[in-house]
Amino acid sequence: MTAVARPPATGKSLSIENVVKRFGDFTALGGVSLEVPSGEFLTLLGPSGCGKTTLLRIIAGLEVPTEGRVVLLGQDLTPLPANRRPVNTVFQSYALFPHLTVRENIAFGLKSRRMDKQEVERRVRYGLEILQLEKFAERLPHQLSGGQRQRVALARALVNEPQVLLLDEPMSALDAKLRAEVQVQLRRLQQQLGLTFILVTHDQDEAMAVSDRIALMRMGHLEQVGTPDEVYERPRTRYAAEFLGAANLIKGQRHPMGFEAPFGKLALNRTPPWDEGYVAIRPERVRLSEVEPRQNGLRVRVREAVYRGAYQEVWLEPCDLRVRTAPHPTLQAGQELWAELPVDSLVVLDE
Amino acid sequence: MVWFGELTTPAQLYRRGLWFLLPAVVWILGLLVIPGLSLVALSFAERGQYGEVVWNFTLENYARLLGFGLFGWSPDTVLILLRSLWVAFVTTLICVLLAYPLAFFIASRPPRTRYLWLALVIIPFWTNLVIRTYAWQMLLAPDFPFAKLAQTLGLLAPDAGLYPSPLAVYIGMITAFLPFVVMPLFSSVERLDWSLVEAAQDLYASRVRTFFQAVWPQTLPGLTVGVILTFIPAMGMFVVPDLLGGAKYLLVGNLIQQQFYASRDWPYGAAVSLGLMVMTLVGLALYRRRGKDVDLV
Repeated sequence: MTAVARPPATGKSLSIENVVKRFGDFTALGGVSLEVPSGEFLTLLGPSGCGKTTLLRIIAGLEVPTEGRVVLLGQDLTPLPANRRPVNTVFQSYALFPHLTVRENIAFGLKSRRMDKQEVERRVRYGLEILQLEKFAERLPHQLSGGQRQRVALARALVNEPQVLLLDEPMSALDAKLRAEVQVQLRRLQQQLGLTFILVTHDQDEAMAVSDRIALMRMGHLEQVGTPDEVYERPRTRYAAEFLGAANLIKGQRHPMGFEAPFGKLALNRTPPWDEGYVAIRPERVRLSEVEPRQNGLRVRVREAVYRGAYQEVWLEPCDLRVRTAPHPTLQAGQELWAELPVDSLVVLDE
Repeated sequence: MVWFGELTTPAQLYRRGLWFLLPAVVWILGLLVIPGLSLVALSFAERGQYGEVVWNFTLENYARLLGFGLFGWSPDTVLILLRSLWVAFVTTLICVLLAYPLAFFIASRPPRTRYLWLALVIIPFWTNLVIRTYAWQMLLAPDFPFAKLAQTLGLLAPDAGLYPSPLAVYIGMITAFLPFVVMPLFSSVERLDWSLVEAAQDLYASRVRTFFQAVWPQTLPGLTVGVILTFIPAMGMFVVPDLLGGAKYLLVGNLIQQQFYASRDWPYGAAVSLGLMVMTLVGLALYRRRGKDVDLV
C-alpha cells in the first residue's frame, strides 16, 4: 500500500512560544521558543532533567505550561486537553493496554473518535501492514517482544494520522543492535509519511542518526538548535561541544592574530567575542604529519597511542589533545611529530 | 536431620514442604471437612420432640427450605433466601461505588498523609462489630439528629426512629464491609500504571472511556478480592440484621441462628446452611464467569 500523500513542508507548523513550566520551586522549562516546520524530524536532546520530556508532554497536552503557548497550524492548542489535540504520543513504556490485543490497541484511538467501522478496519490493516505486525494482530501485549511492542505503540499512534507524532525515548528499552535498526526504520517511516516527528532522547548518536534538526537542551533552556552537522561541527557552547561527541577544549586568550593558547598561538577564522575563553576542535579534525604545516602547527609528542582497528586514538602532549586518525601501526608513544589544527576546524565557543 | 541446602531446590522444597502441610491438613480435615460433612448428614436427619437429632433419613428439611410446610407452600423461606442474596448484592455494589472514589482519594494523598487516611478507614474496623452495630442503634434512634431530620422532611412519622428498618440494615452492613473493599482496591490503585491513563487521553478517549479501558482493568484484581471478602460474609451476616432489622426483616443468617438456638432444630438449620453455601457459590461462579470476559489478571 502506498503512503497517504502529504503536502510537502510548508514552513511553520508547530510553534512553541516562550513556554515556561514550574513545579513548585523547580523550573523545568525557563522560556522555550521553537518553530517546527511540518514534515520535520526534530529531536529534543539532553541529559535527564533538562526538561525535554516536560516539553514533549506540554505539546501532547499531558502537562499544562505555567506560561507560554503551543500553536499548531495557527491554532492555539494550549487550552485543549490531550484527548482533543491532533497529536499522538509513543510513550517510553509504550503504555499498551494489557487487556487488548494488538489489533484492539491499534484501533483504540479510532474507536475513541467513533470512526465508522470500515474506516477503523482499513486504518488498522494499514497500521498492521506498515509496521509488519499482521502476524501478531490477535496477540496480547505480554506475548510480544520489546521491539514488537514498540511497533504496536508506533502503529497505534500513526493510524490516527496525527499532525505531529511525539516520541518519548521510544528506543531506550531496546538493546543496542535492535536500536540501530529501529532508528533507520523510524527515519524511513517518517520520510515516507512526511509527518512531523518530535523525538526525545538522551542518546546523541540516535539524535544524529534520525534528525533533520537537533534541539539541544540544558537545564530547561534550548542550548543550540540546528541540523546534526551544524550542532556537531559548529557547537556554540562548551556544553554543546562536549555533549555531542568528543571535543578538545582549549582555553586561552584573545590575541590580535587570533588566539593564544598555553602552548602557542593559533589562527582563527572568527574573532572571539571574549577576552578569555575556549575554542574547540573535534579529535578527528586534528592532522598529524612529519613535516611542519603552514599554519597552526604544533610540535607535539605522542603520550599514548591506542589502536582501535577502524581508527587510532592518540593523546598528545604537552597540549593535551585527543586525536582520532586513520590507523598508523607505526605510531608509538614518545614519538615527536607535528599536529595541525586547521583554521576551519577550530570552533570559537561563545560560552 | 540436616536440611541445609536440601531445601534450596524447588523439588526438594516441594517434597519436604509436604510435611509442613500436615498441621494445616489436620486443621482443615478436623475443623472444616468433618464438620462440613456432618452438616450434610445432619441436614437429612429429623428433629426429635425435644429438639434432639433423630437419625431417620428425610428430605423434609429441604422441602421446608423451598417453602413446603405443614400448611402447604408459603413463600417465607424463599423470600428470606432471595432477600439475603439481594441485601448482599446491594451491599457489595454500594461498597464498591463508595470505595472507588475513596481509594483514589487516599492513593492520591501525599505519602505523609496517605496512611493517616487509610488508618481512618481501618480504625472503626478495630472496634467489635456488635458494638458498632449497637452504636448505629443509638445514632438512628428517634431523638437523634438523623431521625429528627427525616421526621422534619416528612420521610418518617413523628417520634419514629430510623431503626429497626431495612435502611438501618444496609447502613450497618455497608459500614461493616466498606474497609474490606477499600483496602484491596487501594492497593490496586496505588500501583496503577498512570501511563495507560495518559495513553488513553492521548488517543482521544473521553473520561468514561479512559476509566473503563485504562483504570478499571487495572483495579480488577483488588476489586475481586474486595467483592469476595464482602459478598460471602454479607450473605451469612446475622449480627447486623438481628440488631438493626427488627423481627420482620430476617436474613438467612438469622434463620440459621434461630434453628440452632431458639428452635433447637439442628437438621433444618443444617439444610438452610447448605442452601446458603450453594447460593454463595453460584453467586461467585457467576462473578467469575462475567469476570473472564474482562480478563481478571
